[in-house]
Amino acid sequence: MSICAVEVHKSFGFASSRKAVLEGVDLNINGGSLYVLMGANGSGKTTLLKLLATLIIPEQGAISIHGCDALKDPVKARRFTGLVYDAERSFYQMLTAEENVAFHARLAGVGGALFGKRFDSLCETLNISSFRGTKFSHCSSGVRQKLAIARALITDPPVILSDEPTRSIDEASKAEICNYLKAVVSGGKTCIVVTHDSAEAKMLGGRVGFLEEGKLKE
Amino acid sequence: MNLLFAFLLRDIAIEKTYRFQLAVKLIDVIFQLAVFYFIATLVSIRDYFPFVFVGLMFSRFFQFWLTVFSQSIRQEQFWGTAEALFLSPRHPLAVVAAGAMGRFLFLIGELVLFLALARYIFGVHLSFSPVGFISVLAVCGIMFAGIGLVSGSIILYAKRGDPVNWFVSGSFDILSGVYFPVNVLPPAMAHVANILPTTAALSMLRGVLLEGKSPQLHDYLQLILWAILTCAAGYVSFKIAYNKARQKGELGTY
Repeated sequence: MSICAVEVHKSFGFASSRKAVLEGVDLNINGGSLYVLMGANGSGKTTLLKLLATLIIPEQGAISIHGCDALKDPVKARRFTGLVYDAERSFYQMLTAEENVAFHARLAGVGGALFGKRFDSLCETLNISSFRGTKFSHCSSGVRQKLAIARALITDPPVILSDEPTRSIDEASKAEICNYLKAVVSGGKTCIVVTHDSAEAKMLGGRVGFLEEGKLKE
Repeated sequence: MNLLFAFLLRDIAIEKTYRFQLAVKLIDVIFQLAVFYFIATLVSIRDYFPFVFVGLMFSRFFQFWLTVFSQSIRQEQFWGTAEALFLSPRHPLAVVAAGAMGRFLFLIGELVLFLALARYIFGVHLSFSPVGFISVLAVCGIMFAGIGLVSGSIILYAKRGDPVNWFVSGSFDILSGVYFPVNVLPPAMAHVANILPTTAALSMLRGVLLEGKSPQLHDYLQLILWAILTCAAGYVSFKIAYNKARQKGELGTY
């Protein structure tokens, strides 16, 4: 299994205001497959993704990413994951598109010629080559989303966790991103895509799971 | 090294977009020294300016370490980039420590400016050995970084209202002999002042810079013990705060 979550429970808040978001979620995804995670707003989709990315700790349960226990060794688990999320605010506004991605790549030990080669290829595939030197604050929403994808993929992780990668972008870019994610999966990577757009889910194909009342149903 | 290099390049790129702020910070050093230079002329106490110059420089150094981690964590949270940093496959403490790299280089620049201004503009006679100066600051830097990490941990978890910074910073100014010798304090306060490692460190630095003294191993011993203690406290508090923030799901919020 590339991604495995067993009996995961997570709630937020204190005492009487405590709200259970995930109540015993089980998830098994094989390597090289695409999984579409759907659900209403507040159903816990982003929480589940952040749990898999080790940004959040569950109260109960076990999570393994690419064979690594993500709760015991989160730093190692992060080597296997790339998280596509919050394209609007998770970049440095005053740096260029390339400087932003280069910084995150260097943090993961990817620099120099290797970075250049991978970034060239990602820019070409995602059609953002002309925005490399553009300050992030001057990039459009579509370019920002694509940069979030480039940042997640620059380290070439086997697992991609993607939180609404087509949010607030036009139909043409949407199709472009979906096709790219499908191509990434055919290349052998495992991908979870969070969306609440059923047309997009259809376009992506693959297994579909619904988060409802803290449970994951397929 | 990759980690340090990554932050260094990032910080240089960011600072280039805030050039005016850089200039303001440097001018601030000149203003501060000038104010105390004229106060020293007014009070006519022999050698007050050299005394307070070392105090001011040490105070900058202390304040830097006390606030560097809390400020950089808060800034990343404010920008929305904190979670992205903690997603990197590096130990979170290494990420936070490396995040201070750019500011640390700026601090070195500030210290050099302090020394140059004191020597060439305000006429302070400096007779120090670079080795003694660097070694005292290195031990003090480690000691203060530990306290700064406790402060940063509080910001990581509680987001605002850091009592450590407020308390340590306030007591440092009054009790460590920054602006006046501790022997002018009431006996009870002077007793506390003499126990503080910052008082001993500042006294060592004055000896090194103004009298050309070379600290001996036993002089460093107390500071090294404090450095071990504060770093252990910093490590434990960071670990707790980081995991608590992950439990609350608030690693990136401010």
